[in-house]
Amino acid sequence: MTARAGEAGTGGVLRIELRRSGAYLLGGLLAVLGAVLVVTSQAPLDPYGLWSSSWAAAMRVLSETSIVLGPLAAAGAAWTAGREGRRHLGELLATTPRPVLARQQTTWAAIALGVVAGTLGVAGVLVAGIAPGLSYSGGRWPLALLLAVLGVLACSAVGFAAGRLIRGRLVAPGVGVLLYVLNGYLGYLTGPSARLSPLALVSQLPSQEGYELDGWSAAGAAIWLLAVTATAVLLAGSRRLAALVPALLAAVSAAALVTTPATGDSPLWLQPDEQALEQVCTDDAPQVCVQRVHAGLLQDVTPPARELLARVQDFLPVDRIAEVPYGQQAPPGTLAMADLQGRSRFLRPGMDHPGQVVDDTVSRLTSYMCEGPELDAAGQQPYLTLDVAHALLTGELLLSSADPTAVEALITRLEEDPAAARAWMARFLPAAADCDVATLVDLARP
Amino acid sequence: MTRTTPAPDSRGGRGLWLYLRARHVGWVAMALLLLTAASWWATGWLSTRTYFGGAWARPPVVGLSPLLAAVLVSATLVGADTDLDRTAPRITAQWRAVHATTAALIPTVLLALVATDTPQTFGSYALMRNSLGLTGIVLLTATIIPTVLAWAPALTYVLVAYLAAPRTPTAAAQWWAWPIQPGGPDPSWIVATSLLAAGLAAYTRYGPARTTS
Repeated sequence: MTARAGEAGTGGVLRIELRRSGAYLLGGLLAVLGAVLVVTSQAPLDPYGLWSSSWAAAMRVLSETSIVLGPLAAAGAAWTAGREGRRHLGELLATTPRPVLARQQTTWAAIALGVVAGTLGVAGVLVAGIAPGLSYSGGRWPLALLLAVLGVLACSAVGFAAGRLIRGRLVAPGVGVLLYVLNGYLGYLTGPSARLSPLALVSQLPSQEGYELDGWSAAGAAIWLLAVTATAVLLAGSRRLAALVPALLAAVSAAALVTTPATGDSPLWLQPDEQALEQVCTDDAPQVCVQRVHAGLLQDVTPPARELLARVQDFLPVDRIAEVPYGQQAPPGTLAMADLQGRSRFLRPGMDHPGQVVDDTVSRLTSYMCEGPELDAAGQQPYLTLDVAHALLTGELLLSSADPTAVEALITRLEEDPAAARAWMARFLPAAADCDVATLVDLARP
Repeated sequence: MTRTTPAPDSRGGRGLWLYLRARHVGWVAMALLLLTAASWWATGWLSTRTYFGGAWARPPVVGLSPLLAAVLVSATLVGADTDLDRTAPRITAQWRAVHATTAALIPTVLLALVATDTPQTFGSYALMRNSLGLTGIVLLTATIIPTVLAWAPALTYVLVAYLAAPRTPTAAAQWWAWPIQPGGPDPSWIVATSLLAAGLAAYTRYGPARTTS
C-alpha cells in the first residue's frame, strides 16, 4: 500500500483529485452550459440574435458567456474546497505531516484544469461557429481568449478560497451569486465610475469588431486576474503573509487599470484594427466594397448592393458602394453601405437576408433624428417625405406609411418626371440630415 | 410500577422548536428579511438608472432574489443527519407537507412586497411566480440529490436562463426561460406552478434524499 501511494507521485495524486474533486463534472458542466448559451443566442431560439463570423465577435461572445461560467466555476470550487469542513476533518488533517498549502494546491490544480478545459470547450464551439465564414484572422484575439480563461479561473480561485475559509452549506451558492452581481454591477457602470469596469473578474474588456485589445490594458488585466488568483489560492492554503505579495500586485495593477487615460472615442482598452477595416472590393464594376473582416459576405451582398446603387445613381453622383462604419462619412463618389456586423450565419458561410442591408443603407440615407416644437407643429408631413424617399430609392412602399394615398400620389408625380425627382431628392437629403422641417413640409406637397 | 414523567423534549411545542432549530429556520428567517430589504433597495436603484426603462430595469432582482430565497429555504429542508431523521417516528408526510408549503409561501409573500408599483412589469407578480417555481425546483431536487446540494440546479438554471433569454420576448422563451418573463398571464406561470406542485408532492412523499456529502 505504501509503495503504491509513493509511486503515485504528484501526477497520480492530481489524477485522483481530478476524479474526487468533481473537476471533470465542473469542466463538462461549464462546456455544456457555455455551448447552450451560444446556441440560444442564435435563431430560431432568439429570432433577433446577431452573429458575426470574426474572431473579435467570437471572443466577445466568450467574454459575455463567462459572466455565467465564472460564478458557476466559483460555486463549484467553493463546494469542493468546503468538503473538509463539511466532514469535520480539520483536526484529523492537522495531524498529518503534509502542509495545508500542498494539499490545497493539488485540489486547486484539479479544479483549475477542469475550469480551463470547460472554458476552452466553449471557445471550441465558437470557433466552429465562425470557421465557415471567417475571412480575417488578425487582431489580438488570442489576448481576449487568454483574458476570458484567466477571468473564469480567477472566479474559481475566489470561490475556492471562500469555500475553504468560510464554513456553511450556503457558501458555494452565495459566492456564485455574489460574483454574478458584482461582475454585472461593474459592467453596467456609466460615467466616471465606468473606469472601474475593468476590475470585474469576467467580461471586463469586451472585444469589438474593427478594434483590437490595447496591449498594455490587456497586460494590466492579465496581471490583475493572475494576482487575484494567486492571492486566493495562497489564502486557501493558509499562507496569509505570502498572500500579501500577490495582493499588493493586484492593488497596483487595479490602480493602473482604473487610471489609464482614455484615447479617442473607443473604450479605454480598445484601439482601431486598421487591417480589419481595410476595404476588400469586387474586381468588376460597379465596385462593391466591404471591410476585410466581412469579406466572407461580399459575394452575398454584391447583387442587392448593385441593384440599390443603380437606383441611387439616378439621384446622387456615386459610382461605387462601400461598407462604412456608422457615423463615418463615405468618400466622394461612394455610397455608404450599412455596417455588416452581426449579419453572418452561425456554423454556415454567407448571410441570410442580404436585402436587409439595402433597407438599412437607405434608412441611413434618409435617417431623420430630429425633435423640437417646429417638428411637433408640422404633424405627419416631414415623415411623409421619408416614405417617398424610401420608395424612390428602393422601389418599395413602406407598409407603415402615415398617409399612403398622399405618398403614392407624390411618388407617381415624381416617377413621371425624372428631372423633378432628381431635384426633389437633391433638396430632401440635406434637409433630412439637417432637420430642415420647413423644407421637408414644402417637399411633402403633392 | 409508577407512571414515568414524559421526557421534556416530547412536551407541547418543544418538539417543534427543536425541529426548527435543527433546520436553521431562525437564521434563514432573518436572512429572508434581509434579502427582502436588499431587494427592495435594489429595485429602486435599478429603476432610477438612466440607461434602463424604469420598471423594465428590474429583471436582475426578479431573477436573483427568488433564487437566493430558494437557496436559503434549501438549508431548512434537512437536519444534521437524514438517516437519524428517518428513524424518528414523528417525521411524517404531514410534517413535510406543512414544512414545504410554508417554505414556499413565506418567501413568496415577502418578495411580493418588494415591487408593488407596476407589478406586472418585472414586479411583484414575477417575484411571486419565480419564488414559487424556484422553491419547487429546490424541493424537487432535494428528494433526488443530496439535499445539501439542492441549490445547485436552481442556481445553474437561473444564471443560464438570465443570460440566454432573448431580450425581445418570444413564445418559446415563456416556457424555457420562464423566470425572465415580465410577470403577465403567460405560460411562464404554468411552468412555475407545475414545478411547485411537483416539488411539494415529491418532498411530501419521499422527503429529503440521504446526505452523502
